[in-house]
Amino acid sequence: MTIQQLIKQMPLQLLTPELETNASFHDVYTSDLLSAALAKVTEDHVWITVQVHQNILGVASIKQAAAVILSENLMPDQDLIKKAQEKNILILLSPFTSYETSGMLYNMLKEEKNGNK
Amino acid sequence: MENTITTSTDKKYVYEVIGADFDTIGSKALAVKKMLNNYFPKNDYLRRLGVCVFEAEANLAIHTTQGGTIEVLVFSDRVRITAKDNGPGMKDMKKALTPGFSTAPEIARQLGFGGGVGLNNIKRFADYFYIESSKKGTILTFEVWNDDDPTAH
Repeated sequence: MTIQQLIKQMPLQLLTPELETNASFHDVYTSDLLSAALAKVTEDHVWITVQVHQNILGVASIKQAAAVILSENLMPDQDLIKKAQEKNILILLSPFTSYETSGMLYNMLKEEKNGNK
Repeated sequence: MENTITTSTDKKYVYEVIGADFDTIGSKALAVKKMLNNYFPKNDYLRRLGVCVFEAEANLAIHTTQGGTIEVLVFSDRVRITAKDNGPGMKDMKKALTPGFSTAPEIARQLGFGGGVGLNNIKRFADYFYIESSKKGTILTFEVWNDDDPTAH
C-alpha cells in the first residue's frame, strides 16, 4: 500500500504536502519509545507515535520510515514540519488514538494481503 | 599485506556532542550516516550504523552535562566508533546493560528516551561491543562490519 492510498482511505492530514506520497509500506510499528522504534522500524514501515519533538525526525530519517503518523491530532510545531520536508520525511496527523490508528491500518493491510492472494 | 586493510587508516572523523541538550539528539547520527554513505552505499548497513550512533549520541546528551565525542574510524570492511565522555560514569555496569534499566531523568523520558534499551540496541546491531566506565568517564567502543567485503574479518 502506498501513502497516497492510505490518505484516501483514512482521514489523515498530510503535514508535508510538498513531498511525494508514492512510498509504499507493508507493516506498521507503534511505539513512543525512540529506542524501540530505532530497533524495529524499517523503510517498509509506517511509524505511529504521540511524540511530536524533533528527535522523531532523527529516528525516522535513520531508519528511512515510509511515513510517521502522529496520533490524537497532536500537532507538531512548524519548525518540525519544515525540517521533515527538508529531510524528506512524510508526516501525517491522525485524529484517532495510537491504538485506533494501528487497528485501522492493521485491517487495511490485512485486507490488501488477502486481496492479493 | 592483508592485514594492512584493517590496521591502517587515515579516515578518522570526530563529532562533538553537547551535554544535557536533548533537542539535537540524532543530528550527529545523521551526519555520520551521511558521511559514511561516501564509503558504503548499502542502505541496510548504514541503517545499522545509524541506530548505534544515535544511541551513543543520546547517551552522551542525556547522561553527561559536558557532552563528549564520537570518533568514527572507517576501514574498508568495518566502521569502528568510540564514544567518550568525562561524565560521572556508570555506577553499576551490569544494571546499565540490563534491558529496561535506566537512570535517565524524567524530562528525557517524556521525550521517549530512557527506556533502558539503548545500549542493548547497540549490542544487537553492532558486531563488536566494549564498554568501560569509571568515575572519570565512560568509553564505549563498537564496530559494525560490512559483510559485503570478501576480505572482512
